[in-house]
Amino acid sequence: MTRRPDPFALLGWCLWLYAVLVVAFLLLPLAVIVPAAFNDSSLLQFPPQRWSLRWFHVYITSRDWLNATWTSLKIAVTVSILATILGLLTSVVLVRFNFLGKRSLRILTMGPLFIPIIITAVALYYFFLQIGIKGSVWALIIGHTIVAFPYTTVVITASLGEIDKRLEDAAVGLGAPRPRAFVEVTLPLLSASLAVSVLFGFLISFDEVVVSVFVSGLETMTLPRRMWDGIRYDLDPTIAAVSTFLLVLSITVLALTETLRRALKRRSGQIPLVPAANAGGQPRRIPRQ
Amino acid sequence: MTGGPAMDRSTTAEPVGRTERTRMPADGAADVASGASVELRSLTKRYGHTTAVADVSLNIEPGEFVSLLGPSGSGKTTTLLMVAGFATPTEGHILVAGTDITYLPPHRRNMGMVYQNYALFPHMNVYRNVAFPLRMRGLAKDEIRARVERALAIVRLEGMEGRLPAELSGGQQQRVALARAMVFRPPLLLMDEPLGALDKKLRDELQIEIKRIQRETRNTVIYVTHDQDEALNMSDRIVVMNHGRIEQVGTPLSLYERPSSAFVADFMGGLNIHDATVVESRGQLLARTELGTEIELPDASGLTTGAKLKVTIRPERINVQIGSSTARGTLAGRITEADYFGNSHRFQIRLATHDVLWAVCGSTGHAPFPRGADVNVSWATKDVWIIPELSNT
Repeated sequence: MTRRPDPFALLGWCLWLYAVLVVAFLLLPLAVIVPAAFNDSSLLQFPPQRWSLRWFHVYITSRDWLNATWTSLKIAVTVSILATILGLLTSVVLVRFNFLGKRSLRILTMGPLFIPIIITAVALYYFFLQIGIKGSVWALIIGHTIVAFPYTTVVITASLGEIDKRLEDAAVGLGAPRPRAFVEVTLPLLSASLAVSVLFGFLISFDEVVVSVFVSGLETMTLPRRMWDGIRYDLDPTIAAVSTFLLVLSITVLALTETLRRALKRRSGQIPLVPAANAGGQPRRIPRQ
Repeated sequence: MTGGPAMDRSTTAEPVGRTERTRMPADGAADVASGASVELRSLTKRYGHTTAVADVSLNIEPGEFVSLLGPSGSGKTTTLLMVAGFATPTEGHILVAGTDITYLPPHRRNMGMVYQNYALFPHMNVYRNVAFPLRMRGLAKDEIRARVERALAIVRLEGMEGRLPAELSGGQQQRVALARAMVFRPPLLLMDEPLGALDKKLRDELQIEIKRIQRETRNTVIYVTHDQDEALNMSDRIVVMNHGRIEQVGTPLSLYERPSSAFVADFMGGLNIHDATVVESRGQLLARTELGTEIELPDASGLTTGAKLKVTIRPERINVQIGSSTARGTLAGRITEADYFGNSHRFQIRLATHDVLWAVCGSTGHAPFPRGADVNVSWATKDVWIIPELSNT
C-alpha cells in the first residue's frame, strides 16, 4: 500500500520544528548562564575551561548575598499574600457586583501592566522619599504589590467568573448568610486559583528589579538588586551561580503551581473524571461507550 | 439497582417519614412537621421597562402541590425567585404561614430549593452536601448524622455518602439535591424545573418519587415547569402563566377540560382550536368556523348571533370511523396524516369544508387507518368547549 504524504501532516511537522526553534532561541541565555555558574575561572567565561562549584560556595557563604536572599524571601512572601488578598477582594467586586463604571474599573486594575514599569518606579521613588519610607521594607512591599496586583487579579477574576453564582445562592437558600456562603462554597472552589495567585505573586516579587533599584536602600537590598549592583561594580561568576539558583527556584514554583492547580481542580470536581453528558443513569466514573 | 431497593421502598421509607415526625419534637423553625400556606398578593417585578411578573395573586393551601406552568419568559421562575428571596418584588407582598416575608433575607426564609442544574456543592461529598443546611442551623453532630441518614434513605441513596457529585449520575445528583432541600424539614419546597436536565425515563421515575416524598412529608410545594404533562401528573393545582400574568388557575382536570383562554387550551396540548361565529340555524344556535363547519354548542345560553368565540374539542374525544356516510351528526373527511405512538394513534383529518381536525385514538393492536382513507368523524356535543373571545386576545 503506497501512501501519499499528507500535506497537513507535513505542515504539522513544519510548525513543530518552528516551535522547537523558537523555544530554543528563548532558552539560549540559559545555555550560557548555567554553564558559566559551574566555571572555575574568576571571570564570567563561556564556555567554561574547568568545572567547579566554587561560585555556589561563594554565594552560600557570603553574608552580603545571603542577606539579600533573605530580604527577597521575606518581601516576596508578604507580597504574595497581600497581592492575593487585594486581588480576591477586587475580583469579588468586579465579578459579583454591577455598578456604573465597572468596565472602567476593570481596565484600571490592569493599569500597572500598561504603565511602563520605570514610570511606576520613579513615581514611587518620589512618593516614598516624601513620606520618608524610601529604602524601607514597606516601600519594597508596596512597590512589588503594585506590580503583582494585576496578575493576581486576572487569575482570580477568571476563576471566580467560572464559578456558578447559583451555588452560593443555593447555600444562602439553605440557611447560610451571604458571607458564610462565600466562605463555605465559593472560597474552596477558588482555592486552586488562590494558590496559583500566591505563587505568581511570590515569583513576581522575588525577581523584580526596576522598582527595587529605585526604592530599596542599603538595609533592604533584594537579591535581584544585589545582582544588578554586582554586574555594575564587581562582575564575577557568583552572579551566574545566583542566576542558576533563581532559575531553579522559578521552575520549582511553576511546577508546584501546575501540580497544585490540577490536584485542586480534580478534588473540587471541576475536571470531570470521565467527560460525559450527565443526563443518563450512568455514574460518570464508569465510562461506557 | 433491581429488586432489592424497590422492595425497600414500601418497608423502610414510609416508617422513616413517620418516625421523623414523632421523634422530632419542635426544635425551632427548622422542624415544622407539615407545609405552610403561601399567599402572593399582587406580586409585580419590573426590570427597567420590562415587566417580568405582573400583578400575580395566589393562595396556596398548606401541603398543596402547586405548579407554575408556562413557556420561557412567562415569569414563572421570577415568581419563584421572589418567593425564595433572590429577587425583590417591585410591588406586592409574599406571606408564608400568614407572616409577611417580602423583605426577609433569603437565608432566613427556611425554604428548600431544588434547581434544574442541581447546584450541588462540587467540593463536598454527598454527606456534607446534605448536612450543609443542618450545619448552618447549628445542630449537634449526632443529630445531623441521624437526619442525613434518614434523608438519604428517603431518596434511596444509602451508601453514597462518600461520593462527590461529579461521581454521580444526573438522576442521583437530583436525589441528593432533593434530600438536601428536605433534610431541614422546611415547610415550603421550591423546585425550579428540577427534572429538566434528565431524560424521559428518569424524569417519569423521579416524578413519582417526588410525589411520594411530598405525600410523606406533607410539604407545600411550588413547582416550576414548562412541561404540561409533568404539571398535570404532579400537581394539586396548576397556575398557567403567560407574559408575567396568571392566565388560569385550576386543578389539572379543570385546566385540561375547561381552559379559559386559547393560550391555556393550546398550552395544555389542545390541537383543535377553531375560530367561530355564532349563527342561527333551524331555531338553534350553532358555531360556524371560518371555513363553514357548523358545530353544535353544548350550552348556548348567553350567546347571541354574531358573537365571536373559539371552539375546542379534545382530540381523544373525536370518534373516527372508516366510511363516508352522511348520517346526521357525523362529518365526512379524509385522513391526511397518520402518526403512531405505540399506545395511541393520531390522525390529521381534513373535513369537506377544509377545516382540519386532529383525532387521537387508543391503540387497539390493529393497523390504523391509512393516510388518504375516507372517514366519518363525530363527537358528543358535551365534549365541545367554548372560549368566548375577549377583546384583547
